[in-house]
Amino acid sequence: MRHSRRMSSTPLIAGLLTGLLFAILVVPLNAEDSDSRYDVSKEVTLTGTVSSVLHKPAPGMIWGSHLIVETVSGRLDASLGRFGLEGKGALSVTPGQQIELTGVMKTVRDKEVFEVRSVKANGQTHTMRNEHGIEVSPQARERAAEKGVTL
Amino acid sequence: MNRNFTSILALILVGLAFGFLTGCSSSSSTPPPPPPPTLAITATSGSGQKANVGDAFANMLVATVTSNGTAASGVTVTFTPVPGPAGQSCTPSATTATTASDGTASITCTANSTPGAYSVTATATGTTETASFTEGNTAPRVFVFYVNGLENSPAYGPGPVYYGIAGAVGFDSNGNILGGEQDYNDGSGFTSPGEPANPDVITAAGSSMTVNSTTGTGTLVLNVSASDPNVGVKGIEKFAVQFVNANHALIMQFDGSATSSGSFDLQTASSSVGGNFAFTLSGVDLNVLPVAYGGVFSNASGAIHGTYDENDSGKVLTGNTLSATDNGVGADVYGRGSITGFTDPNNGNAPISLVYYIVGAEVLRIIDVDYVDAMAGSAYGQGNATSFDSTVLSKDVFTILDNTEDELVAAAGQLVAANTAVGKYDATFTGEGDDDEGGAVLAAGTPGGVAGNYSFSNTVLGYGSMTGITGLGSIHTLGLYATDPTLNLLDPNNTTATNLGAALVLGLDDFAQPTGVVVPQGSIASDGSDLDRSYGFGAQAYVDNGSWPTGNVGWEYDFVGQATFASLAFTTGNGGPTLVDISDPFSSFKSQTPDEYTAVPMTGTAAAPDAAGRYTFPSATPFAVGPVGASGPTVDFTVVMYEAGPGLVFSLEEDTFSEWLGTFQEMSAGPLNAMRVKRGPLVKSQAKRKRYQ
Repeated sequence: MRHSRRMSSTPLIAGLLTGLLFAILVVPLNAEDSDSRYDVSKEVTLTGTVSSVLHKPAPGMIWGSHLIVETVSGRLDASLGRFGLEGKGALSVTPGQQIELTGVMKTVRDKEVFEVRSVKANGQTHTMRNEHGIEVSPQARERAAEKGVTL
Repeated sequence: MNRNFTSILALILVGLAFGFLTGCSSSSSTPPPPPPPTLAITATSGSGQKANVGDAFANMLVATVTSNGTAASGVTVTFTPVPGPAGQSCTPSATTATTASDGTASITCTANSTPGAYSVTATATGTTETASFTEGNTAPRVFVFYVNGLENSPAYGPGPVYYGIAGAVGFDSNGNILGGEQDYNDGSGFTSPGEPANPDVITAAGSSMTVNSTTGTGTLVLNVSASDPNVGVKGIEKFAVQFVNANHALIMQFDGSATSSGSFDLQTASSSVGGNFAFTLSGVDLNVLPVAYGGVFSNASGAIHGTYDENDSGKVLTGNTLSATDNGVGADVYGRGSITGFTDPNNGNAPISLVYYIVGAEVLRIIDVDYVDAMAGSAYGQGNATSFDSTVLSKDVFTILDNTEDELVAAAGQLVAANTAVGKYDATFTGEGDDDEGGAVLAAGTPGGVAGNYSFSNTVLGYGSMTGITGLGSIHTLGLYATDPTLNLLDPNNTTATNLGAALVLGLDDFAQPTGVVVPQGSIASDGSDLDRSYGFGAQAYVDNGSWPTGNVGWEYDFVGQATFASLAFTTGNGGPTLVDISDPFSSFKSQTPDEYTAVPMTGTAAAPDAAGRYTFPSATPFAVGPVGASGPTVDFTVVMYEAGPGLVFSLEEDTFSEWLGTFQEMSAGPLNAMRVKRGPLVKSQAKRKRYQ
């Protein structure tokens, strides 16, 4: 996980160190694993503040849309997949918004990325991927809503 | 009491007298007319025939009239053709005929110019009963096609949606389209409206195919607007075709409404199919999540039994029992049949309605025709084999491409089997492979870098798996389904090629739902001279840099074309104009500019292959595509190729922003104008494109 924020006050530094410790202990990161498999047993839930919304990936990122999220442990590249911000029922968030992310930290092309399974924002939970990491399309979201089931 | 008895006796006597008198009266009046004879008419013979358009049916259409069960002579019988939805019918030799002493009346009928099934009714004077004959007009040549890819969905956009098409197109001997039918399914609102019974009708008017007889490059236009105006551009679908030989072409949709890749093959059989088959299907399930199936089955007089595997968005169920019914082709003249009883084990065994088109005795193109799910794929025969053991594989090339809804993985490579023996059902393999998973290249041709085990069942014919795979990224387990070793999986009518058989594969890991093939690899010339020939080629590509509709994060483009290799230098156009069509409805090449590009140059010079038949394009001479359109970009792609043999080479593109899997198929030296065609009359909507914002 990359940490690029600069903190100027002692409490913030303490907070950062706490966050780092949290990241090391709680988020196993799976950093050595470049496998595409989504290991649900390594799933964690994080909270943070959206710093930017990327409908398309920046160079070096994995495919699909992304959120850059500031967490207690630093800046996070959160991958929403190709459907996350697209079509009916898509997630809509803006910079500065508080969100909760559930997913798995992975390393892809030597960069850490948090593969998001679900996002909780505005009191609603939006499913980005199923339990196997398969991305959920707008049609799938709508079909699930019609059936009254949770993806 | 005596008085009562006397009264009763008197009443009885009076009654008897009355009865006697009235009875005498009755017997002396006019008898009522006998009931009218009961006339009946039946179609005695001549039903169920098929004749080429313009030809008379071989047998007469014979109706028999009976009166109270006895042959009725001298009765007038009227024969009336009832045209089918495309206008298919026949011209009777006479509209009426009089029954002979045996009660029969007969006519001959000549097929009109439109293929398709229809009926001829026969009615007899004096009865309202009708006898019906079912007849069919056939086209002299029929090509079966199938594609799958992504459409630009108005219902769920902005954003593309999986779709597949399977169908058949009939041609006359001059290459004019006479008609056809297709089944289109996206599981998201654009499924052919008459499913499962009635496919879209391809009409002759507005349909055409033009092909350059030298290069094999052409355009196929299909008009289904009368029955399904939602697909293509107001019911007009345009495809780019690249003929490899007179019987086989690569095909992609090319009209902006969708993009896809598939195959277009001459039909060599159109009635029932039986025997043993291997199959794969790929698409979306009833929850619109990506799904793929693979397995084997036997078809004995329509009774289908087999074993199959399912990978439904990572939920993998193997060894499912398949018990279904092949309902046959019936009166259909395009070899369209249906299968009922196929189910989705991961979703409570929900039924899935399948339709197939027969390419030949051992090849079916299959499409799911339900409104809530959608898939397309193929079934390939297993020939006369009674056993598939570890010797099915020896030295082979494999390719795997993800479901287009998922679009995560493309892989290819060589595998070399070891420890094989006749009668032994498990073995090991080593090999070399390339694997691109969403732009992350997780394997890049390390010699000996791939290894694993495989086995076939000794009880279920040709049902197997590859397990413990290492060195190929996230791919660790594949279903393996053996095919007829004499069958060409890429070009079914071309059995002179050297790369025949060997198996279909299905990804059984939980991260993606890819399907693919394993084909034998011949000897490889170390200097690359194997490639010194002309190829038809194409690929299905996934990207992350699309820009249409607005905000789109990238999806699919496809291309087909013709090219030559000479001393490892690859050039398009056979010395003439560049001949590559690129279908890019999601603006992968030019921002916010979806388009269909023609005559796009592609060039590059490969390095000599390694021992596994793997070619690369060095950075100094990359595989360059472009300029794409006027003032468009030229993009250098990282491309590797695995040669199965001189006639068949697979290409894999593995960049961080895209991946593709494609083939180079050697072009026939003969003319490619088997479908020399006159353009049919255009309809107004052909000039318009569908766009959704």
